[in-house]
Amino acid sequence: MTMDITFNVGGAAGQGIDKIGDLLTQIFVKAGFYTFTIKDFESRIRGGYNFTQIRVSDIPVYASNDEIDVIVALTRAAIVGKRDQLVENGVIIFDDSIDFTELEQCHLPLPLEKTAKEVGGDTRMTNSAALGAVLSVLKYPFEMASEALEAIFQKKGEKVIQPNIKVARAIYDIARDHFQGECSHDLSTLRGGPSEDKLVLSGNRAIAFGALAANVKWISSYPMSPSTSAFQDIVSVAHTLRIGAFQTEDELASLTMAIGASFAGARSMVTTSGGGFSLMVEGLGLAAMTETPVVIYNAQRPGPATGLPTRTEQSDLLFMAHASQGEFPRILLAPKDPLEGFNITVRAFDLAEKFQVPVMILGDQYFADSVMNIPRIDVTGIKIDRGKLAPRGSDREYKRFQLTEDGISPRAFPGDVGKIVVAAGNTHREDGHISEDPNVRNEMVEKFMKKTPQILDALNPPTLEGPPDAETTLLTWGTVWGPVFEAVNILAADGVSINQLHFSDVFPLKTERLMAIFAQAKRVISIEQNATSQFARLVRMETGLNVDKMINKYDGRPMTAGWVITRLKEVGVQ
Amino acid sequence: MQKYIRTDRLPWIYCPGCSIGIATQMVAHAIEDLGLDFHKVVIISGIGCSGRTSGYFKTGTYHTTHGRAIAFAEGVKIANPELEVIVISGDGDLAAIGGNHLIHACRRNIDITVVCINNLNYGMTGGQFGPTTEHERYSQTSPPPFGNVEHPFNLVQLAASSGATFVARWTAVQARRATKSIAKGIKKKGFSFIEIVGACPTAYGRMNRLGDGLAMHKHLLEVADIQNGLPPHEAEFDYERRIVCGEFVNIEKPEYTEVLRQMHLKAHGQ
Ligand SMILES: Cc1ncc(C[n+]2csc(CCOP(=O)(O)OP(=O)(O)O)c2C)c(N)n1
Ligand SMILES: [Mg+2]
Repeated sequence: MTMDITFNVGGAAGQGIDKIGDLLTQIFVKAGFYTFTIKDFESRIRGGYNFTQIRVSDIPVYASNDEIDVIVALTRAAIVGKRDQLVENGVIIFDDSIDFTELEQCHLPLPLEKTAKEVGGDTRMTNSAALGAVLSVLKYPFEMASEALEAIFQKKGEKVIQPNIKVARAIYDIARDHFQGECSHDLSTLRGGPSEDKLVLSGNRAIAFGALAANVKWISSYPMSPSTSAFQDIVSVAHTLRIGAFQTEDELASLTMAIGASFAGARSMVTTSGGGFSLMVEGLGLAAMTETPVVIYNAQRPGPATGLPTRTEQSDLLFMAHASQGEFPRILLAPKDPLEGFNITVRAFDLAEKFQVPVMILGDQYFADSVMNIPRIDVTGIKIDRGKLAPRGSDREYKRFQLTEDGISPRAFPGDVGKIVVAAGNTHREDGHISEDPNVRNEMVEKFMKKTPQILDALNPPTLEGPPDAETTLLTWGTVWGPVFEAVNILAADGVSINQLHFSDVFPLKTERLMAIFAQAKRVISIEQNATSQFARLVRMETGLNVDKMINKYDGRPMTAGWVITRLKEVGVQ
Repeated sequence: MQKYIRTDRLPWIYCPGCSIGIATQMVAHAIEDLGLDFHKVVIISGIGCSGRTSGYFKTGTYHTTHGRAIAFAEGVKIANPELEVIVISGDGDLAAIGGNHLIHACRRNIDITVVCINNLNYGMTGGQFGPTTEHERYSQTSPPPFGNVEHPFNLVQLAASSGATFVARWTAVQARRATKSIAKGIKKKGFSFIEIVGACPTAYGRMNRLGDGLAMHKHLLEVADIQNGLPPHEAEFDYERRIVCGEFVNIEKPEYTEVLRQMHLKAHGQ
């Protein structure tokens, strides 16, 4: 690896740190680099200490870094907040109006706001000023940046483009003349990077895009961090794409409405977080009992109750795997990154309609808000499978829950000509009418149970990174894939015999490959973003196999490769 | 205010120009005016910017989950009727996800006081429309060019028709009158509902071009039309033109915990 730079833009909520972060990301994406950005913010609209951290590299990166090269601080708290993570020749840039006098060599106060006002005529251009300062300390060729800025501001017209470039240039020069210290990176000879990945995507947006690509026709949600932006992305195109997008009065209504829409024929989904899913549990059972397909996206956050609204955790796995009274098939998918989030969402709709079961996607705040650039996605090849549908035309004998070989009954929708569709949340007969007959009950339970082996066949097996016969196997699921994958690569390069067995399709649990890898490994270590190793417990429940060590993180902050390696060393992996 | 507000929790988390701080002070003043014993007061809130108010009080407080403040408060009050139970929360918390609890608490006539800070949207989650957002107004989830498809609740009418025994509405700029009504509500033996119409310049204000906090509060002053005693169904709410303020309901009805106490006495032959 020749280049690996981390920027941290910190300040109070509402100060525009995301805008500066976006500018930086776009500049480097346009120049051909890989980026990975995390957002760290408090549950408040104004004030506090938030940051966005951008990692830029010339090889793909899947997690954040512990060490920071350049900090842009918009408040005093941000000047000191990450000081201990700054590399030796790191730089902290901040506005010279901030009252801060404990200056060290790494500190670079600059007239950001003043220059934005004087040169650009608008303090809103402080963002461009901050960008100019960062590029200056890196000795990033300004011409490359200004081309990129033209493209970034293109839509806003010349009146916005030129002043912004001027402001960036002015600070670029001021910083060059003022900066006495040293910067860990010198990019003066930079001509561009190797990356062709131009699609900048957060996990939430990937879910929204996946749903659109799958031709979602209904979404009903109630706002809840960290899921809200996925809902809002779909709302923003609902009229154009003729999607029913409804904000309900609570999550009870969200899922129940979506089930209604699905019963009426629309591909339906809901988005929420754990607290909202708690309210959806009743609806989950209704969807299951009436075999009505629906996709539920849960962007997990630390619980219980309101927990940490804007932080991350993987602690709803067993809850979602077992939520609701009664027993029924369901599917849980947990994407590892935005690209997989897109693909999983497309699959989720097909799986839901094919097996007529609820399909749940487990993201988390780390997944939801993290941004990376990925290759453009070609959606033209996407085929939609709506599962078994009743043949068109009149059928007086149509039974919504007709008993079939595979347990799956052809769907028809109310309003279809010549068919009457009857369903009930009570145990029902093939024709959908309520029955307490023990034989009917047995038939219907067995109908449900027939689906699980077929679902298992349709799910993807876990992936394995590294040699199959490695001494140590790291067991992961969902979004901790990235930091653990990076840790595995670093350790493998140091000669450690290690691999990573990773599950994105998590429930029902596919066990063949897992058993094979467990049999080969000397020790298996689970790494999860929760306190009770829920996935390792699921594995034990399904296979009787135990992991040897469990590594857990539950402070609400994402893992990094460095954190994973430190924990692994503590348990003797080196 | 130091007597009532936890200064160690300051500065407020609220944005400049937000009304929630003002409403918090109204409640603090009402408690002061009534000379209530801190140890006998429980302030309960749900989730949202408005819901964060409970944490600023030096009384006993409880920050519930989203929408559940009233249900929780009913439990507290019935378990110990000696306590003065006050709910402060937002329009979304109390009238959307918590709407069912609101109407049923009104109907039961439990002696609690609900102060609803109506900033016309979900502030905390970034400004989505809510149950009080007016038709065609913009929000994150009712974006231009169409705006909100739905129609708002008139909270005064909702509470009154659901059976509340004391119902008032004020805006954030009528601090003195609002404080008096809150104090009256607390003293009232029955379910009291006080709506405080406030400004959310960061989200609702910006999206609907209503100006900054100062401009929004000036506007509230202009359109507030004080009509004490008006029948609640005439308590119009039209943000642009006229927000009727005042006390609209003050009736007597057997109160739940009192009726319960009587029943217990009877059951024990007293
Ligand atoms: C079950 C559940 N769903 C959603 C949320 C997310 N949420 C937190 S606050 C809020 C809206 C609050 O609106 P309001 O009560 O009007 O308060 P404001 O922030 O406007 O003062 C929502 C939807 C949650 N915390 N819990
Ligand atoms: Mg509100």
